[in-house]
Amino acid sequence: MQLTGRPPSGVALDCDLGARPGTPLAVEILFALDQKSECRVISMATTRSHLHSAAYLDAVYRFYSGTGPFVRPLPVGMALKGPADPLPHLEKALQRHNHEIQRLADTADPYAVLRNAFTTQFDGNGLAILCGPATNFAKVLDLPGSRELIALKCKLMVAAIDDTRRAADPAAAERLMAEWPSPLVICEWEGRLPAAAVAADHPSGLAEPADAELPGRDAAAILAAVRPNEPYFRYSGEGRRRTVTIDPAQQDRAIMAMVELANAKPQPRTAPPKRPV
Amino acid sequence: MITRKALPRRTFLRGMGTAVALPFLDAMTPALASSKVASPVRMAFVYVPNGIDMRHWNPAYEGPLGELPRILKPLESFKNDITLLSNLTHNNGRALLDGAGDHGRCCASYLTGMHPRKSAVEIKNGISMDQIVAREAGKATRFPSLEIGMEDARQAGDCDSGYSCAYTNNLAWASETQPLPPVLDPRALFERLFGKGAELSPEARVREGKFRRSILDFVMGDAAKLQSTLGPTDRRKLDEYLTSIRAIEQQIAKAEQDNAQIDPKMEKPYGVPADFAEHFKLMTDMATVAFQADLTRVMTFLVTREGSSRAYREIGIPDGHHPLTHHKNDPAMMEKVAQINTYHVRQFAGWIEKLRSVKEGDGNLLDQSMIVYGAGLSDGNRHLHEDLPTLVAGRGAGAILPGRRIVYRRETPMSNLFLTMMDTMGVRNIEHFGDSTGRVEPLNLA
Repeated sequence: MQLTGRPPSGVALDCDLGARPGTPLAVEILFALDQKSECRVISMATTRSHLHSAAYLDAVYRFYSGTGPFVRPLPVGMALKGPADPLPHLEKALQRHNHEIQRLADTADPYAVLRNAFTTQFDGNGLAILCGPATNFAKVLDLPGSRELIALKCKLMVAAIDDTRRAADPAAAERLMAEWPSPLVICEWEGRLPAAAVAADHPSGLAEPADAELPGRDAAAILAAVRPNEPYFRYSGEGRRRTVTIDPAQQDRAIMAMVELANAKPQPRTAPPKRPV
Repeated sequence: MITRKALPRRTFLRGMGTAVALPFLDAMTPALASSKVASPVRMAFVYVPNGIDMRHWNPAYEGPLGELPRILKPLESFKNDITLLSNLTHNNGRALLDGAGDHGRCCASYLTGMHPRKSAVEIKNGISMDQIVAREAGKATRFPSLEIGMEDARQAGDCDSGYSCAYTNNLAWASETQPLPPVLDPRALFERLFGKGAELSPEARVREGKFRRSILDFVMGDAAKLQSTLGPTDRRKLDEYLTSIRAIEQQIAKAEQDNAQIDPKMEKPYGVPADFAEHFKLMTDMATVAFQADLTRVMTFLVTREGSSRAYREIGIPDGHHPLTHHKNDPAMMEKVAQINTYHVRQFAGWIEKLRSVKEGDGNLLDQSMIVYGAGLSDGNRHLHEDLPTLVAGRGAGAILPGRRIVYRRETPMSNLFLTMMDTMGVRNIEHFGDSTGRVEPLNLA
């Protein structure tokens, strides 16, 4: 990747972490791709108005990035309005894994972090991934200048949005489909990931239900955003609004890729090598 | 029957080429007014460069102010007059693919909320919020705004990695391409406030200085006439006010005397005191008078230019400020940075004290003001643009409930605070400014 002279695509992730199984694992897959320098996570936000949801995103980030002076600050956006029911399964993971979100002020304004993420990107280098209701991304469109910014910077949005997530905020979903300035691909894959995808010592080891298959739509959306040209992806539709799923004949291959990524061990960044004198 | 005619708010004491505005006097309130005349709100920004050592700025708590951290200690007796704001961010001060030049960007974006064009020649920024306010509030005052500073008003050249000096040396921008350079010389500022409005050349100052008398000498006739029509409280107020102007004159004269050995043709401003604290006091004393006499309601004060390498020998620090802030966690260098930060706040506390000592209406001038003290970087070592050190002194005529620390959510745009402040200054038709995502809650909500 470094030889191409272009930095990895910057990913702005918005999700409803804690609402359903599969999302915690998907976030780990995203950071595994970041660790392989196939992308760079530049902002994260959640539509759930619960500190555990934001704290879990922070915990996964710190799990992969470690601590120290070379860890870049990555504020987590959290909606103030939205589902706020307790998330006991996330709480267990948070008791074991480090995070720095204890109170509301430790979270960020989700619209600011999602918008600001694109300001840091070269033209056409940004990626938007939606694994939740469309509320936050639709709201970003209201910020002055953001449409032009997104049109310039964001090459693609991949949205794992199904009927449940549409129903959570139908107006926002409709608006996103109609007005999002970049090409948008809806991930429709309904396959499941094996229990083996979850590594016990990862945050998802406690956040996901034990020994159960997990919904794979979020993970597939992330993979389709970062590796859009893998042969197992099947696209339909034309123009700026398309759908993607996984070719049933090549499903095992795709699942294997996701399982491998989910099990990747974190390799904290170290200081850049010193230049030879 | 009450027949007293109120003294117009815009009354001046006049003399040869001199017009001295008056402070707000009781006699300016109409006798039959159904309610008291509202004093105007004043707004000022005091900007210090190179960030602040946040370890000694942020308290460990939020809510009511308790023990203040080391750098804020000089404000201990003003705890009930200040509000600390945390987590405000200027995203547009960040590189955003433009590479080095955080000092140029952070100063340029501080009041504009915009990402300045990286150029040493073709400058482009945005209109600063003080100027938006000045367009409205300035209609009622002699000067829409005042821009003051204490170091380096160069407007051309490359001052930071390809960023024009216009970015590092100005806070106020009247348009995208027109910065408003600060006045550095106390004499020039004095003459702007009370003289003919013209800033004299160094040679002219020398020439005029030979026969210069106090401007008060020129207006004494007017003053005596006015005194005879005032009540005892107003007479005392007027006397204190004129005495403070005289004191400023004497300080300037002293600075000029101290600088008498310096060639007046050299670029260094002629009346600039060599001592930092003395210079700061002179500038802020005049700022106080300008607010007191309602000469302006909007002011920016660039204490030293962004990226300044000034040495602070006054407090035993011969090293340059900017190099010290790149301390690489060296404890000795960090200690010196904290000392400079504290020294700046101590000077600021002196101004706050002065504002608080000036009575206005039922309160004081500080109650009527919003004085923002801050920097465009938090950590000067790493050039961070988040959690910018921000303190507001005053009550903004009831718009601020001070004595506490408010911690906003991370990445809250500083521009959101500016929108709320613009509301307080009566500019209410602005929906968006810089990179704002909305407004912060009114600062008077408990």
